[in-house]
Amino acid sequence: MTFTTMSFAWFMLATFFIYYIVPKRFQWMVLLAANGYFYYQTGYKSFLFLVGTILVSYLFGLLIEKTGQKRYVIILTVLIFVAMMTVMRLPFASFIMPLGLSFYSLQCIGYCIEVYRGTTPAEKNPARYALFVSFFPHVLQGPFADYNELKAELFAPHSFDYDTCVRGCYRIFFGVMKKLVIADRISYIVNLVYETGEGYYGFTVLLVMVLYAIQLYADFSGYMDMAVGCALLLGIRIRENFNVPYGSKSMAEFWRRWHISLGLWFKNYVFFPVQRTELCNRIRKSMKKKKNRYGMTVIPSVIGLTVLWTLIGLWHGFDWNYLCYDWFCGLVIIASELLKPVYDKVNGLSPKVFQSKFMDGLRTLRTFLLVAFSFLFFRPDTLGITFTMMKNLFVKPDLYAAAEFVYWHSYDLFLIAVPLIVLAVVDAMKYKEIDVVAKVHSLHPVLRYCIYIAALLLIYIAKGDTGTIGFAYYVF
Amino acid sequence: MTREEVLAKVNDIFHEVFDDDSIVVVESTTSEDVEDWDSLMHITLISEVESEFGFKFQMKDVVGMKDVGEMLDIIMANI
Repeated sequence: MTFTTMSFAWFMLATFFIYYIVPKRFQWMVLLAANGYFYYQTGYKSFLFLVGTILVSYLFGLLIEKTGQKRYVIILTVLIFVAMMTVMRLPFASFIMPLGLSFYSLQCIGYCIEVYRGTTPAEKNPARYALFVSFFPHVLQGPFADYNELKAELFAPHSFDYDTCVRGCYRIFFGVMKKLVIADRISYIVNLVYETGEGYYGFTVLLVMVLYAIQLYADFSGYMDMAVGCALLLGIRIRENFNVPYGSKSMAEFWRRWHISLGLWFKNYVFFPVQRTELCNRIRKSMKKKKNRYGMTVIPSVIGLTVLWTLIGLWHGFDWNYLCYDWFCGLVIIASELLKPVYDKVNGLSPKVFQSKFMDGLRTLRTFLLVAFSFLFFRPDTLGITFTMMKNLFVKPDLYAAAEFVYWHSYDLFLIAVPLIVLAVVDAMKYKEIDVVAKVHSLHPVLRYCIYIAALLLIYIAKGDTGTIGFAYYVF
Repeated sequence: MTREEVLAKVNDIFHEVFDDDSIVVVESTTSEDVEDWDSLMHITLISEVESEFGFKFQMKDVVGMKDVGEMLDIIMANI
């Protein structure tokens, strides 16, 4: 039951009505029942696996809080979860891989680490803990939630609030447009090229690369819009997972704006602990003795970033394509960290020029192209296809073939043109921290309703085949 | 050591770590206010504060510290 199906719409509607009808103290129980129903649709084996995972992490949470051997118990907890995720990704077990396992497992590990660190008291009520892990807007694709942050929202009594629900509806429809129109239409254009990578050169590969970057963003952030919107309909605020990533001026900034909750998870539970190891502390001290301020930060950071990006790669999957994709991102970030003194010197030559808006625009374009290029590792099934496409990108421009490619796909490109402009305008407004919903609401009602009708018609006319194309991040 | 004295020492550490003597930190200063104060520099900063004041931050403090004021609270509680 994906967010873009009619069965989900009925499920959401039923949950919405029951949630606001029952006495407020029972609202969280309604949500728990809804979560159970929602996740059960993925299959009973997956459902049992989720229940087992919840139970194990719940018990470990209690044990960590009670025991005097916290350190050993947390190590055991992490090892059990890592072993479970590892086994499930091996070929012989992958057919029973429960949907969303990579997402809810990390959330469970995060909860246990927070209990270990003493920032979250262990939840005593297993049903309340189950609601946190299985909350249907985030159980399949994130965003990763922090128990301390989310419990206040989940267990507070919620009265129906018109404005919050309107915001929720906006987010849902915007997400639907991104997924069904932009992402699904682009998939018709690029899928064939990514099958073998053969026969397409220069500008065609560049176009496909750029289109896929838009597709993945529309797909994943569209899902997140729907998740945030569904939660808002229930009066619950969950974390934002995207913040105009293609407005970034560097790869590091991109990763602070793209899949934000994943970045935060790995920063808090991998990068910082690695940075605080004895090895990194020793390096820092030895560099300080040598009065090497640059090395004091850069060498431990390189160690931390290498571990971080390798683990993110393995989290994406035991696949060379994912590993190379994440190493590429890490390499760009490490290289820009290493070259920072050079950049600073160059920028210092003419601060007026290098701090201009024009240069910022070029940095944004450079970052977007680098990200789109990195997806040449992420999207294809094999590294062979990746390298073929990379080679073909530079071998010849082949402008005529690119024009022909555009001509053959002009119907799909025409249908996504208006939604793409809408997406660009909304993102530009978000980048400038303008409240888009409030802006639309300030319009004259006649104009506003014309926009609603036009948007619905657009989605109806331009959408791809509903239900046939899954979300890109369902595979993790 | 008074809170003001600790703040003055922390200010000196900021100058050294970020190589910028023009930085003036106050209790409400956050990573948004200091250019280059990202997660990479954060750990260097924490290490320098630790060696200056002779104690170790807990991981929850390293992650959860919101501003210089919170850093001062932790330092004051540990010296």
